[in-house]
Amino acid sequence: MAENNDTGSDTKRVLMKGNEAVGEAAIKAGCLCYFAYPITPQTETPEYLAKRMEQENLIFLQAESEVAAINMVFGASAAGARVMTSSSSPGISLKQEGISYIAGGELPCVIINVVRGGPGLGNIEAAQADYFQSTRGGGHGDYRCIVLAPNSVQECYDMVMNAFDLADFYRVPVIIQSDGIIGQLVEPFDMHPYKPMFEKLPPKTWALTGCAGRKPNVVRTLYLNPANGLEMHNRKLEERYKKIHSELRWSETYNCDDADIIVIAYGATSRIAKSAIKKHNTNGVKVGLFRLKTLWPWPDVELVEIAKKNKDVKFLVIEMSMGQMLEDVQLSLMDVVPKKDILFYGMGGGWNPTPDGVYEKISEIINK
Amino acid sequence: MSDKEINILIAGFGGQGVILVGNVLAYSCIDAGKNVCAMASYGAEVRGGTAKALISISDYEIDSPIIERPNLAIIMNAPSFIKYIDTILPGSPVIINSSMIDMDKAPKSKHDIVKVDATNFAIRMGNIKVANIVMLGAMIKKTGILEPQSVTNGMKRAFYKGKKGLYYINESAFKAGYDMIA
Amino acid sequence: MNIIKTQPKSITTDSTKYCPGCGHGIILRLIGEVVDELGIRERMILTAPVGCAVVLYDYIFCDVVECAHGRAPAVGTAIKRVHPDKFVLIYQGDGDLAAIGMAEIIHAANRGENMSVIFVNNATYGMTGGQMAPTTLIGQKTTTSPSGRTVKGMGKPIRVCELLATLEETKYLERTSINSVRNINKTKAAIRKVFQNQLNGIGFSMVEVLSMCPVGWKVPPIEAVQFIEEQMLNYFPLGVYKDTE
Repeated sequence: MAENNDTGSDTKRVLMKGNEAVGEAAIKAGCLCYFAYPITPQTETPEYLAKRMEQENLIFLQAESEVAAINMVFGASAAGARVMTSSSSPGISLKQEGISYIAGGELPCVIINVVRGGPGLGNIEAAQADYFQSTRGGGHGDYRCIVLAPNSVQECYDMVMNAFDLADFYRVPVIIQSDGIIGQLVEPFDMHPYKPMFEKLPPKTWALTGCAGRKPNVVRTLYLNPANGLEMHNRKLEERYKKIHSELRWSETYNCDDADIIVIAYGATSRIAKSAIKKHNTNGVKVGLFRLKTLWPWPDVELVEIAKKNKDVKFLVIEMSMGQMLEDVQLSLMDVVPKKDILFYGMGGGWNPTPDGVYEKISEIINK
Repeated sequence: MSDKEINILIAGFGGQGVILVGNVLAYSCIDAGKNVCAMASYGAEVRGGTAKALISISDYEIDSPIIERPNLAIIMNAPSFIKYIDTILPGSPVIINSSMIDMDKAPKSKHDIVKVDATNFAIRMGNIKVANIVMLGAMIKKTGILEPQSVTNGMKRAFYKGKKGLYYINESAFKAGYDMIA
Repeated sequence: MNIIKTQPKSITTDSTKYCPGCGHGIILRLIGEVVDELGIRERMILTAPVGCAVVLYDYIFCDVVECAHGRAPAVGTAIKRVHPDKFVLIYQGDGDLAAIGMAEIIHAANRGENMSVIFVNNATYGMTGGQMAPTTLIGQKTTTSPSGRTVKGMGKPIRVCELLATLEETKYLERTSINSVRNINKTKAAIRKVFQNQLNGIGFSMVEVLSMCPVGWKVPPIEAVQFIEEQMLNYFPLGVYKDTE
C-alpha cells in the first residue's frame, strides 16, 4: 500500500503495511542481501525491497524457487553478509531443508513467515498454524530458531532490526512469525534509525572471504564421526539454546494482577483478544492478557510466576490454529495449574477470531 | 462520533480508488494526531474486481485490527452495496455513489443513506478517477470525524510522489464533495 | 635430482578417501595445479556438493562451504554477489547437478552468474553405492535399475552441456574426459579456461568431466576406463559446446 519517503528529522511518523515495514527495517539494519520468491500474503516485501534495494545499491534477487532462495541466504550468510528472506507458510515448508543447514552451519539470518492457512495450499487468509514448525526447528535434526512475533506494524519494524542483531549475536536463524493480518495491516509507525541491541557483536571470523593471511574457514554441515563430531556439535548447539532460553524470553502482560482469567495469545489474535478484554474490564470483570513476543524461547518462567501469584486463575489460549501453542502452555503450567483450568479457543482454515467471539468465550467461562 | 472508535468500510470496483481513500484517511489521521489502522482486501479477493478497505480511527489505542461491524461507510458501486450493506451497523451513515447505485432498486436498509452523485460529478470535472475523493469530501462534512485541513494535509502526503497536478484536482474534488452536503 | 612435478600447494593431502580407480582424485589434482598456476587459492571460495566430493574441504586448502544436495549453484550465486572480487568454484556430481539440483544450475546459468562449474559425470550415484543417475546410460545396470536402464519409464540420459548451451547467458561449456593422459591434459586446459573466464569477468562457464566410478559400476579400474571409451563417449561426445569469446 502506501509508502512515504519523507525526509526530515531522524524519526519519521510514516504509514506502511507490515510487510513493507519489514523491508525498510532490514535496509536500515544493514541487510546486504535479500532473496525470495513471490507468495501471497507476503509479496509486498519483495516488491518493496526490489525497489528500495536498487535505490540503495544492495543485492536483491528473485530466486527460481523457495529452495533456491533459502540456499542463497545460506551462501550470503556464509560469506559474512546480513541477509534476509521472506515467504508464507507453503514457501516456508519448502525452505526447511535450507533452514536446517543454516542452523547446522551456525549461520545467522532472518526469515519472515507471513503465516497463512494450511495444510497444503490452504488459503491466503491469516493463520497461526505454523507454530509447531517454527518453534520446533522445522526441518530435520536437533535445532531451534529464535522466533519473534510482532503484533503491530511498529513491531514488524522494530523486531526485524532486533532479529538481525540476535542472529549475529547467537549465530542462529531468527524467524519473524507474522501473519496475513499483521503483514497486510497499514498503520502509522515511528521509523527511527537502526538502534543496535548490543554494544558489540562478535566479529564474523568464521565467514568465507578467501583465506588470505589466515587458515581456511569451512562452513561445515557434515560431521561423519558420530562420537567426537556430530555429538559434540549437537551438545554445543544445545548449550547455546539453553543460553538463549535464559537470556531471551519476551512477553508482556495487561491487567494480569489479580485476574480471574488470563488470555494467552500472540500476534494478531493478541490484539483481537485485547479488545474483548477491555470490554470485560469496563464491566468490572477481571480478565488479563499474557502476550508472547518470543515464541521460542517460550516465556515459561514468566507464565509460571503469574500462575503462582493468581490463585485459582483460569487460562484461555487463543490461536488461529486448532491448538498448537496450547501444548506449550500446558507443558509450562503442568506443575502449577490443573489441566482443566487451561481452556482453548481457536480456529483453523485461515479464519480469525473476532472481538465479539472472544468476549463471548470469556463470558462463557465466567458463567460456568 | 469523536470519543469512540470509528470503523469505516470503503468498497467499490477495483480502479475506483478504494485503497487510495483509505491511504488518504490514514495520512489525515497522522496529521490530526489520531490513531489509525487499515486493512485492504488482497490476493485472490481483489483479482475478482471488487476492492474493500477497512479503517479504524480512534483517539485511543486501537486493539483489534479486525472490524466486525463498520459504523460508517463509503460505497462506490451497486454490487458492493448489496454485498456489504448488512455488515454495517444499523443507523450508521452510509455515503453512496448515486451515479452507480440506483437506490430505488437497492435493497432496503436501516442506515442513514447519503447520496452523492460522485462519478457524474467527477466526469464533469474532467477526471472520473476523483469520484472517490468527492465521496470522501461528502463523508467528512457529514460526519465531522476529521478537520478538512487534516484531510488536505493527508492528501498532500498521499499524492507526495505523484504529479503535482494530481493533488490539485483531488483537492478540488474534495472541496466539491464537502460542499455538496448541507 | 631434478624435481619435475610436486603435489600442488593448494592440495592439503597426499591421500584421499576416494576409492581405487576413482576419477575424483585426478580432477582434484588438476584443480590444485590450476589454482597454483593462477595463484588464486587465497581468493577462492569452494562449494562442496553432496556426493563423494562432500569432504573436499579436507583436500583443498581454501575457504569451503558444504552445501545441501544440488543447491551449490544457489549458494555460489549468493557468495559471488557478496564477494564479486573472489573466485567461486562450484563442484558438483551428476545426481547433485542434473537430478535434484537441475533447477538451481539452469537458473544460475540462465542468470549468467560469473562462476566456474566443474561437473563430474560418472553416470551413477557413487556415494550411496551405485544407483541410477540422470546420466546413467541406456542398458547400464545399477542397484536401482537392476535389469539395465530402459528408455521406457526411465527416460534417456541427460546431456547437460547440450542442455545448458541453449541458454544464451552461458559463456563457455566443454565436455572432457579423464580416460587417457591426452584427455586428462585437455581437461586441465578446460578447467583453466573456465577459471580464467571468471577471473576475466566473462560469465557462467562449465566443464563437464566424464569420470570413472569402478566401485559404483562394479568393474575393475581398467574396465572402468574402457567403459568411458566404449560406452560413454558415444553418448556424451567430447568437445566445446559453447565459447562466446
